[in-house]
Amino acid sequence: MSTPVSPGVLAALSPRDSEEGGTQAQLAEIDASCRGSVLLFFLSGMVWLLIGTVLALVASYKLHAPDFLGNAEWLTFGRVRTAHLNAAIYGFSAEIAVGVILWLMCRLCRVPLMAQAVINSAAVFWNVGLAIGIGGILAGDTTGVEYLELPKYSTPILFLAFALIAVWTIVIFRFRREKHLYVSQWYILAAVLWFPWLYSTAQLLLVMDPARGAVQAAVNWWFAHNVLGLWFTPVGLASIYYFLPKVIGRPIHSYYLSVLGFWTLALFYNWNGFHHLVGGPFPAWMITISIVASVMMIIPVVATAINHHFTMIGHFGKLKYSPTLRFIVFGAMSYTVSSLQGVLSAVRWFSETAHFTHHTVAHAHWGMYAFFAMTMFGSMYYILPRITQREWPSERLISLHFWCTAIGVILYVVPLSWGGWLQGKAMLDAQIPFLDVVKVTLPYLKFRTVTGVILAVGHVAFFANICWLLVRTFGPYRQPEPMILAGVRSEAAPVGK
Amino acid sequence: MPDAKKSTPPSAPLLNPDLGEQHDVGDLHAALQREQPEPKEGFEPMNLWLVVLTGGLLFWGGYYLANYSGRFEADEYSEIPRGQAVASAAVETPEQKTLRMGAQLYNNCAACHLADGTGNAALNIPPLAGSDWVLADGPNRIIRIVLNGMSGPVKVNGQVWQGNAMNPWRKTADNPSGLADEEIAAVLSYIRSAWGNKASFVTVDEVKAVSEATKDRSEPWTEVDLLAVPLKSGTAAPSLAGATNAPLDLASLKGHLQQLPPEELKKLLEAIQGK
Amino acid sequence: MNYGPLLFLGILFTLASSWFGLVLLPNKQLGALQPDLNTNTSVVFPQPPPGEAVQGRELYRSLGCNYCHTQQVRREGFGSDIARGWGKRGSVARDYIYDRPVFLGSSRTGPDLTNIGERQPSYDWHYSHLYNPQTTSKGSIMPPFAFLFELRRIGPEGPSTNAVKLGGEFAVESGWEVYPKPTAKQLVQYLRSLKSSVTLPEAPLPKVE
Repeated sequence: MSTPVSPGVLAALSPRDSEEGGTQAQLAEIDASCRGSVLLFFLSGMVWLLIGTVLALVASYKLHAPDFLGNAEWLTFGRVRTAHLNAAIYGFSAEIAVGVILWLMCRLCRVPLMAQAVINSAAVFWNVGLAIGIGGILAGDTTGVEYLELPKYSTPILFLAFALIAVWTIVIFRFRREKHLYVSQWYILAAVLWFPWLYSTAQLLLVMDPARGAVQAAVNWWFAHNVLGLWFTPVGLASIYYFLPKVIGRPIHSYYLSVLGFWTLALFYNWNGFHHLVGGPFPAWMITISIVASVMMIIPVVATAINHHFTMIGHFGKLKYSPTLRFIVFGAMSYTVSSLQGVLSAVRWFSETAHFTHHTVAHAHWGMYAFFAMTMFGSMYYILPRITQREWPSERLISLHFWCTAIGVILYVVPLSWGGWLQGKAMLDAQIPFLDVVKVTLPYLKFRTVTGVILAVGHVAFFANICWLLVRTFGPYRQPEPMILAGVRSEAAPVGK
Repeated sequence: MPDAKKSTPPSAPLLNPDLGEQHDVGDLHAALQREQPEPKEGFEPMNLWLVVLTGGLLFWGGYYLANYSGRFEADEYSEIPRGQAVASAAVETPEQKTLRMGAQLYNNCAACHLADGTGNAALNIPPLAGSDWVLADGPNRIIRIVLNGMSGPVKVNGQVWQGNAMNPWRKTADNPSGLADEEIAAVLSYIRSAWGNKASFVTVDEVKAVSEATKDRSEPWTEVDLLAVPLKSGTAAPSLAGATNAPLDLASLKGHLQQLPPEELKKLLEAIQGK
Repeated sequence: MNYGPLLFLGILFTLASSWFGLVLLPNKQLGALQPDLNTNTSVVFPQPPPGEAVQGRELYRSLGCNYCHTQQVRREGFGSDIARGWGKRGSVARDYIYDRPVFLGSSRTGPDLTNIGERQPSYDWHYSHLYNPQTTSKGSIMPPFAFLFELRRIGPEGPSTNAVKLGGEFAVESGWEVYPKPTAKQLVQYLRSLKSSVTLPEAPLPKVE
């Protein structure tokens, strides 16, 4: 895995210049070293995506047809919804994130992945722990703490897996060969340092030895919000910052905006937690401070949006050819919109209406799916061909995946946000009996199930394409054809997909 | 940019690099060869308006934090600064206030009698909207029902309701979350005025009088017991045990008569008519 | 920004700031709250859940009731919680000191339950509602919890007092009754214990009249 690159390989790569060739050779070696671990995490994540999708469809359907599978205690809404959330977050989102982290860190640090066996065992622990935990939730052993529902008997295994990965990422960073620290590396380093701290504090103060009363809710939402803001968001941003300039071949617009964006995110995002508790049983200052921090988030979000937009400007035509670029740009735009929606939701005036409604669910999916999941899909479209050294087999499946998920998620988050707002307005009017408030939400909940089916089709298409890719990788060798969209097959393609 | 596609002569065998077979390196690294250079940062200056926006937001943040944090006290739950006028409630008459409080308190009743006062036939819960008990002239019986609850069959608007019971709502040491006298007055006034009901408000004094008179009672009321109670104070329920000089409570008498089976009623009428 | 240690310090310092402000400080301000003894009424509030309500609470957690029902009343003037009769005063931190875990909730697919024990103390109503929410609340999207009940033959003494009262379209065949399992009773005991209309120094009850 750390064998020197042979001159034959170097020559065969037909470099533009020797430095470029050297880099390409290095990258080839790095990609090869990552193959097993990254594939393992990506595959695990995709399986959890399918499981999470099924659980999501069941939960969504039950909300407007409560008798569906109503006799099965293990499938009662309160459990199946929770299982969906944990499978989607700790299964799909986190495992894909780890795969992306490893590949990006190795590439950017110019260091091959060492001692893969450790990482691979972390993946196994993770999957085993999560499977036990999800089973536990369906059996009723949920801890009852939001975002931390996995039972006590499954979390130590998960924590061990995560600790291994965090340590490995830091070791890669420590032994980097590339002196310059690119912005993606700041975000990734931050994410792997922040998450263990968040997780261990939360487990200690919420599950192992719960704090007194309302303090639990304080710690709970400090943790839960920071999982989104300090773990998933940095990984998503790291991916966008890497793939956007990489695919179009232009530098990121402004280093200064990157610095401003990173440090204001680091400073303000982690104070946001209590915006989940507006109106709740807490002294006013705790809520106010989180509202202020939430509004401050406008700064990093706008800075990042400017950076991304001005990098892309003039190159939107390339979206026709590159699946990576499509998903990444969609994710980047969703990041801006969902973050601004989040800022608005935190303000007391808005929260009075929208709190406790489906608007929050829509916002959560705007951030975790339209931003994060789409960004991860884009990253996988770039990474998988490089670590398997094969091209994507089916253009149709890529298109199906993109259009189903892009249209599906827009149809999910926009109407449900609006439905949640209407629900909130009805709830504010004490003259409207509660059952009538529920009636207001029904059409939006039914439509949401339909959009869930569209998303599911997209997921299956992607999974099928990946399986086909793996058949090509480990099956009989065939002449690879570069997979670029829009039927372009030759060097006329203007992009380095 | 190197050729993205190379062709192997058709006669060459297909080779799998994963099995250690010789392979065409160029083909394998096709994706890599297509790649653009690793990303770099450009150095465009920060937009001035972004700096101004940042400054503005910091200023707003500081102001909001200073003024809406309840002085960072642990027991200040409202963010509204002291001395700042609370959004003044619209000026309302005492009647409007009673109805508003009553509507709020009615939520205690709505679980069974429903928000529109129609009750629940499946659970044998009678309606309040249009109910003859609710609309009766005086409130003495319905105050008793709320204080001590009710059980057994009851005829409402000619239909018999049985198979369920109503809990007591009197506020006592054992039931501190019960309704106080003022609350019972408010909620009954609301019930007598809502959903098309048109009957007089119930006063706090009326509730207090009944509450005092029944303070030692712990069992729920039955229909028979209640019908013996005069609807209004100062009137007497007709009693077969002996005549009184108090004015007759006609509604009470009517209630009694309605309970009689038709043959008995016919006999009574014949007796009155002297037949 | 190529200096690793500086990056590391910045990353640690930024999270440390909120760990201090949103975890340590709240724990300092609220972590030692004690129940309040009201000298006028001799009422101690809050108290740990009584008797079977403890097991009922575990069921509430296990079935995930928390994902559709909140247990926090917003103060007068912010939201319509009090106008809806969900409470007489806003909830405060002291109300939750015996709760493990705390069930504040984050979604009102169903109504708030902070004071459901005051609003709805009837066993019969709760049994009917849990067995099939349509019996008491037509059009509700709450799932049925029929698995907390058993269908059994009516015994020689006649229908049991605690049997679920089902009429009309929900009635079961004659000779049979729906009887709550111990789990159903524990859950209902827990719901009936949810009462918090007690005056506290930091949250006095408003005067009626």
